[in-house]
Order: sequence, then C-alpha cells, then structure tokens
Amino acid sequence: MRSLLAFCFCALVRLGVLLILCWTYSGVMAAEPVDLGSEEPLEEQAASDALWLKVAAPYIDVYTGPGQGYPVSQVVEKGDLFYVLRQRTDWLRIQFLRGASLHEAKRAMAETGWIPATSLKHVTTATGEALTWSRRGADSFYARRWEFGLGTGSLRGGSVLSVNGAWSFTPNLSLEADIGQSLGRYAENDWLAWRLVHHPYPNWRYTPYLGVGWGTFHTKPKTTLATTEDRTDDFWQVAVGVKSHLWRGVLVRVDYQHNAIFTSRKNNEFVGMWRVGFGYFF
Amino acid sequence: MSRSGCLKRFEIWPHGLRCFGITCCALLSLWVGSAWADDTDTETGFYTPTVATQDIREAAIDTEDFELGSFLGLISVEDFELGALGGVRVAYHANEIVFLEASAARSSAVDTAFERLSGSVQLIPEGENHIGYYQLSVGVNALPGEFFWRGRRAWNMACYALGGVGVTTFAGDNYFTVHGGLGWRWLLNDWFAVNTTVQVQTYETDILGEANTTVNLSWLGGVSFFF
Repeated sequence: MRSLLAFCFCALVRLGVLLILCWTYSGVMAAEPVDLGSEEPLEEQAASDALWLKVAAPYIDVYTGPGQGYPVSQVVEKGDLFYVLRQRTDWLRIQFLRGASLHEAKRAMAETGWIPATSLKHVTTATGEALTWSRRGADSFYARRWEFGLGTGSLRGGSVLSVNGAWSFTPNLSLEADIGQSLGRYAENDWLAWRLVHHPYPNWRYTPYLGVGWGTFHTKPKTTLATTEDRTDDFWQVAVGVKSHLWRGVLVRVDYQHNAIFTSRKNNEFVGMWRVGFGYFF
Repeated sequence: MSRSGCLKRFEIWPHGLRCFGITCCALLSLWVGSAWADDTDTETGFYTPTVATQDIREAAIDTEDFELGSFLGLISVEDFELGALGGVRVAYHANEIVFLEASAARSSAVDTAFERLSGSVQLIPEGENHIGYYQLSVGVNALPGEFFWRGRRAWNMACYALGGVGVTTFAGDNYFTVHGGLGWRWLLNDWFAVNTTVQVQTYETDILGEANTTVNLSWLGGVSFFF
C-alpha cells in the first residue's frame, strides 16, 4: 500500500509539473495571434499578407472544430477577409472580421473558426489574385528524405513489434536502422539491424524495394522454462517489400525479410519474418 | 418653339454623335484586336489568358497534427490486485478521423491476495511485480460535437475508439499484447485537451503455472497538447 501511495504521489507531482508547463505555454500562446501590424520588417509583412485571403464564393461555412461532424456556427461571405492561423489535418483555423477592410481586419480581435482546406478553391488573395493550394500529397512522398515507422508481424511463430528510421540519400537509395522485438511462446528475440535499401521505381504508386542488412540478434529463453543462457549473434538479411503513400505524411509498408543468423553452435539458423507497418515521412 | 423645329434639332445632333461613336468603336476594336493577338497562341490560335496566381504552401502554415500527452490511471491485473498506472503517449492525426498512437506506461507494484494474506510468501520477486507496457494503436475519432456548460460556454469534444498491439512486461517476461479501448477527448482550447480512456489488454501468460489468457482492464485520465 505504501508503494502505491508513493507511486501516486510521484505521478501527481509529475502531472502537476506538466500542467504548470502547459499553462505557462498557454499564456504564451494566448498572447498570439494578433498584431500583424506595421512594426514587422517588410519581408515578414509580405509573408503574413500572403495568408490574408478573400472569400470569392457566395459564402463558406465556418465550423466550431476541425471536422465535418462539428456544428457550423457562422459563415464568411463573399468579399470577407480572413487570416489562416494554423492547420490541423485538412482543416484550417481562421480568424475573420466580417465586412472589414484589410487594414481594419489586421488590427481587430476578430472571430475564429475552422474551414475545410478544400474550401480554398473558393478563395483569392486579399488583393484578388487567384490562389493555388500546394497540399502535402504524393509529390512529397516521392521526394521524402526521412522516414520513421512502426511495424508488427511474425517471426518463427512469435509476434513482432519494430521501430525503424530511414534516410534517403538519393531518390533510389536509403539507409535504414531497425530495432525490433519478437515474442514467442518459448523465447523472445530482439535485434538491431542496419539496412541499405534500393527503390528501383521510386515514382510508382506502390514502390517496391529490396534491402540488404546486417545486425545483431539476441535470443532470451522464457524465465518460466529451464534456465538456458541468453545468446547474442550476428546476422545478415535480405529484404523485399512494397510501400505506398496513404494520407498526408503517412505511408504503409509490407515486407518479408530472410535472416541468416551466424550462431556459435554447429549450424547457422535461417529465419523468415513478415512485417506490416505504418510510417511518417518528411 | 414649333414641333418641327424641335425634331430638326434632334436629327442634327444624333448624326454627329453617331459619326463620333463609329470612329471610337473602330479605334477600340483595333486596340482590342492587338491586345487579343498578344495572348493568342500563333500555332494553335487558342486564347491563353495570363492570370497571376499566388501559391500557398502547407509548409507556410503552422500545422498541429501531433498530440503529446501524459496520463494517470488504474489497472486491474488478472489474478493480482489493482495498481496505479502512469504513462506518456504521442499521436499523429493523419486526418480528421484516423490517428496513430504510441504509448508507454508503468504501474505500481501489484501482488496477489495470497501473498498479502500469507505475509511472508512472495510469488514474484520485488522489482518485477510492476506491470509495464508499450503499445502501438490505430484510433478512430467518432461523435465529434460540443460540450456545453450552463448555456454559456461550449467546448469541442469527441469520442474515439482505438486498438492495436504492444508488449507487456510483468514478472520478468515480455508478452505480446492485443488491446482495444474507448475514450473521450475534451478540448479546452484549440491545442490543449483532457482525455479519458478505458481499455482492455489481453495476452497469454503462464506466471501461475499453466498457460491462460489474461485480461487486464485499465482506466486512464490525462492531458495532452497538439503541436
């Protein structure tokens, strides 16, 4: 009971510190947005002007939250100016003042709400120029430099969980690090592998890849079984897989790895592993 | 003034205006023609308008698709007692409906009722009787709406369901764990939220001799912020 109380106390203290940090941050955030006034340098002024937009459609619905299910609380009408504060998924948090000029709108504490990013089709810049919206899509997937992923799969009947990170140094070649754990009925394995991955067709919708890797493989028998020693061995692997862009910054991948474990016993081990996972790229 | 005199005056002026108008139209059409010729593709003969457009890139806008949070809770471990739980979670909101989440937590020590009653027997060694887990989940937001307070304040809220796989560490071993849960998110402002989740975790274990499927139930409450 004492340990439970001590744990609760420590956890509450940590939560308290986190809350204080959050509220401090909240104070900083509350001071924003607003004055996009004339004290800014000219280039910054021009950049912030780029986010002042004008409604060109008869009206655009403004939602209370970033999703179709939230209520529509207001509308912005044709000719109204609004400023894009931030984006969450495919929704934009906007600040607007109905019927105001750009000068007035910049200086007033205006109303806020959310509009879908798709409604930017019905918008011009504040000066009336047409607008193109460069959305994060397949193009950014083909041009990705970094990738981080999580995966699950199967190795020798055991369930696998793994984390990987990759750096693409050319559109076709990337260097990947992979840390994983496999939990079987009689033993658990964990490994660290370094892999050179080649994407022969990086611009395909479903991009195939081939990899060659090297690493260390650790085997630990279950504690409920008769005690046997843990083993750590080197291993080589070849991998073949396919990855595809899913939404925005998310990709999905499926691969098969064939591992050759160089054990200190008489025979080497050959094990296959299937894996499916999600990744985030930028 | 006679009626005929009035007509005559009108007949003279319209003629002069007409001449002036025709001259203006001819000049204007020449000018428009030359302007048209500038935008016309000489090979295809199609009009290609030159419209200035401004490109707005997503990168120019502050995106808040990540959520970082911390939670406290209670976990009921099958065959053992209730433990307090604390952990952290990070989520990426891929779209308004789907999010991917990774979380990790550790509990206080949990013992069996037998250990507590006997006083001297310890089934699981000290230090290994904490339950810990990390898990990867796919979540689905559902029922978005508003939460009202006395008709004056309204906050955004949403329910969510999540499920996935993970690893539970208990009694010196790791177990592959499947979990599922339901939760509620209350957004105090655009970027700060209070969450509560009830989840079930299940894994195969043989801690008490024979293999069986363990089901642990946990209730978590925490805060998170979007960045």
